[in-house]
Amino acid sequence: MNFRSLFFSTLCLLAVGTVFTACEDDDDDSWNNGATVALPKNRVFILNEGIYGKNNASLTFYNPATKEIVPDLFFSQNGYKLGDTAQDMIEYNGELYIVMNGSNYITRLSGAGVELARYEFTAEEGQPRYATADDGKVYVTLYSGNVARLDAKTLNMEAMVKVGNNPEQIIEEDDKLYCVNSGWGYDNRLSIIDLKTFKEAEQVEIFANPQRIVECNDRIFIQGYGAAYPDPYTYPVALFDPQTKTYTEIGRGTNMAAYGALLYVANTQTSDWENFTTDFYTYDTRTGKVNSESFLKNAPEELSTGNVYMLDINQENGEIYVGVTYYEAGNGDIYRFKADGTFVEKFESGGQSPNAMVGLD
Amino acid sequence: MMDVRNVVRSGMCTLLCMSLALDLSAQHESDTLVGSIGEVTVQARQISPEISSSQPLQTLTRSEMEALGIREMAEAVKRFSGVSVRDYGGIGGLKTVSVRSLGAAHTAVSYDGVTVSNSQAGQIDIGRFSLDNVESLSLAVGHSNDLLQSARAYASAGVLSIQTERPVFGKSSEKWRVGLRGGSFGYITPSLRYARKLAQRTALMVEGDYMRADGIYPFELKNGKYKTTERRRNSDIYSWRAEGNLFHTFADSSRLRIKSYFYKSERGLPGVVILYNPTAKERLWDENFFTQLVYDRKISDSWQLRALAKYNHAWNKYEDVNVKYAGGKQTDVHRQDEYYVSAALRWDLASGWAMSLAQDAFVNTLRNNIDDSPNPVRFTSLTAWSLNFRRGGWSAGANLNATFTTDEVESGATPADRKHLSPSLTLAYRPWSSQLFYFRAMYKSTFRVPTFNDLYYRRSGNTNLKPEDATEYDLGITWSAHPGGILEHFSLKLDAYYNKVSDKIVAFPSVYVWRMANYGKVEIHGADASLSFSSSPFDWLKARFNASYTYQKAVDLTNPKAKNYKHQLPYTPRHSGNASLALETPWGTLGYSLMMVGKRYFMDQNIPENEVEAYCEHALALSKELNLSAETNLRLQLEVTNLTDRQYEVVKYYPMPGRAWRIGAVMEF
Repeated sequence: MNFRSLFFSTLCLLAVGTVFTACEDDDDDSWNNGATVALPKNRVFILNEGIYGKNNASLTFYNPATKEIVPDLFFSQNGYKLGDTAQDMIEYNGELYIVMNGSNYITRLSGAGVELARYEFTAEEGQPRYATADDGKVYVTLYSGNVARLDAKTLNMEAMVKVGNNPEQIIEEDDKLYCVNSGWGYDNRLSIIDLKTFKEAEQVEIFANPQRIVECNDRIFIQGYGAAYPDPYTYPVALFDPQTKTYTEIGRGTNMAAYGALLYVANTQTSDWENFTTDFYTYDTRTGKVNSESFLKNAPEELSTGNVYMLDINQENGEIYVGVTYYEAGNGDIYRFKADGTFVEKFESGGQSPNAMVGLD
Repeated sequence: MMDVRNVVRSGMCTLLCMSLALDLSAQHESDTLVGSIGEVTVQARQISPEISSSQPLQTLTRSEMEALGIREMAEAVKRFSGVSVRDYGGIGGLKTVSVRSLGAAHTAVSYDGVTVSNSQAGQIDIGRFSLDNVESLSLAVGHSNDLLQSARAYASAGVLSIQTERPVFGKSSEKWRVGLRGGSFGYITPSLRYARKLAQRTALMVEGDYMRADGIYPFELKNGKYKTTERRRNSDIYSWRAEGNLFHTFADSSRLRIKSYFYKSERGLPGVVILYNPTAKERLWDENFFTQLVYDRKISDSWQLRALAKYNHAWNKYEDVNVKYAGGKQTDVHRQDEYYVSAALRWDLASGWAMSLAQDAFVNTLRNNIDDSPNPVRFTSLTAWSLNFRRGGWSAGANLNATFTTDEVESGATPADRKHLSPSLTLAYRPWSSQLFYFRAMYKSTFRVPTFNDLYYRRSGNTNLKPEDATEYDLGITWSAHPGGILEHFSLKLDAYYNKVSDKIVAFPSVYVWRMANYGKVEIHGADASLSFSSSPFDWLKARFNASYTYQKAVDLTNPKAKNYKHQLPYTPRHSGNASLALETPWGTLGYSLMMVGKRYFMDQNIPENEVEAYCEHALALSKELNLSAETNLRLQLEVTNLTDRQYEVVKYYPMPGRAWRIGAVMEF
């Protein structure tokens, strides 16, 4: 057993060395500029939300080739902490943007996690939630009930548009921004903003307490609680038609991710609020059909009763990352699967409540 | 000469012990008996109940607190072993007490013999009480042998008792006390007391104080390569307190004490320190009024009665200004009322047996401004039956407590009625009548009923909750002696304990929803040791030394698969302790105290990232009492807390103040 782990470690080290050497040979490793820890070309980043008030949000680096992990990469690269309650992370032009809800800022990081720019929101602008980027701009939902437009390079604040109450996730599709407004249970609207004018939002009523919105193969999917209070929570997942401004429910779910023409859904259910199970299914945008067979193969048994907090797909290669949270009770776990759903490995996420993954290659 | 002194002392002690053993009710009085035999002055204390009690008991008297410069309730309670005070820092910061890691909701706080309650949140903020009028503070763990206790006191795993002063009149039938204290962070508090003997057996005492502080204190914020000096903002506090006490002794020597209390405050809540986001706009307004009466009557040589009644009203308003709320701010208003009556009857039988029956009944209500609030009303009945036995060196006690609660709500589900029986047992043995040396053992089972927040809080409340159970076991020895010579007195207390909490009520997360659940399980192994001695090496010097140490292994046993399984509970140090030294001289009293708290974790998982650094805090106090005339005296006091300006946190990211000073003057006439 010992020999095996020693052998494995040596192999890992060798692999890391090879990758790093390969990077050095490669002229184009510009993502490593200014980095204390040099990263290989094929990179996976996991964002850990942390626990509110504990200033322990963190960014974990995972090397998919060697399975090596660097916890709190942000600290290693920058020498200071990421801060409190990391809400969202997106990739844009080979760089990372992290939205810090508790610490009230958005940051732009190099492809190695070195901070390049930051915008701290004012108390009037409110705390940021989620972001999307398009055409040199970053759009951020703010708890003041606005969507902000920032320059993607400098992160200078340019303009704000009023949307609903407590807007959550946001996407860009066909020169329009779509965001859902939860109102902490009391809003039920989707806001649509024309990117060209960026002046006002059109409000469309959907179901109560929406949380998520995802674009998949030019289709728009929305998800939410379906009610203000737990007892009637229904967790609808629906396809939104931007032409008719109506939605069609396709099933139930608590998490969604898109890759290619498939929408991946995780659906955690409970009957007593103490024991819960998670099902995984896909929706094919080409056929408009749900495939209720799990998209995960040979997944560890415990995952079906785990508290799934993240479902993300590496857009570089279709690999599936499922994050499980234990909240305050411990660091989260990540289950990695190949694009075909074959289980690869489970690793600790390096912080509490992993909620976003970005892959770069 | 020495021998005579020792013999006299031992004799006095033995006599006192014997007389005390016969009178349990005298346990809470701590007179010092001073006698003079020829040229030899004998000063013998009665046996401290801390030594003779079969339950772990710790006491701090007014003079001890004054000598050490302890001016805050939380500072005093932190000196008890086995106790942790969750202190969010600053003058207005929340401070709650947990005894032996059982959790704040298992510790009752009693004010002049009547339990203080908070049926909404279950925990009492001890920062609200002033130490100005406190005569003694004691912490009792587990089963108590006080047969005149209310059933409510029996029902708690631990009781922190606050006993306030009674007026002492000299020649005049009026007594005034005027005080002024001030110090760092814009703190100032004037106080006034007036006591009057209305009749031969009736006295009235009224008092009031005002306190204000801007509370802005500097603290060091470390963030990797950056170390900055920040200031705690939005931590101002203004409070008003008034109290009226009426004491009357009837012709049959039964006693009545009526107390009315009023407290009002407004404070900013500085909140947790969030990196890069200094916004803190939360505010809290509080009002509390209660009136209580306690009646004690010795009906005959074998029958005693204590009856009490209380009405309590508490109101608070919380406000946060933030654009995230619809309308730009959130305002929560809560109003709680309690109507409480209790009676305890004690019957002393022949040959060392005594028993009692205590019956409590109370009604609690909660109203708030939240939509669809169920406005719960709870009726509780507690019955405690107790039996004590003493013979030779043995004493034993047993208690059975029956609880019944029923809730009524205006909307939503009504929880089922709760009925619960909880027993406790205690045994103490004194093997040598010549020595103040005791063995003690205790078992107690208690539980806490879910609070209104646990049951009805918007979104997270769960009306299916069961009570949370706690079981305590304790084995201890106590030893006290007056060896004579330089060492006037010493005492030693050692206790080892095992506690268990099951069906612990915790916020349980699932499917992006947090619900309260009976999910937790905790096991605590602990040991408390305390040592104190006093010595007079010179005529002009009397030294009093106290030290205590606590070991606690408090682990989470909830889920064997969880990452925190068998990990130490957050904010529970394995090792902690404190020490103090008071030097009394004719020129003044110098007090020094030290508090050490070992490494802890601020999260459930015991990994290095979750560690909170150990700390050591030193404090120094200087005081002088001047007798200006026979009836007038002036007391001057200077205190420096956190002498070394140590930057530390009790609760992570709630920095504690650095070095601070206070001065005070109190004149009595």
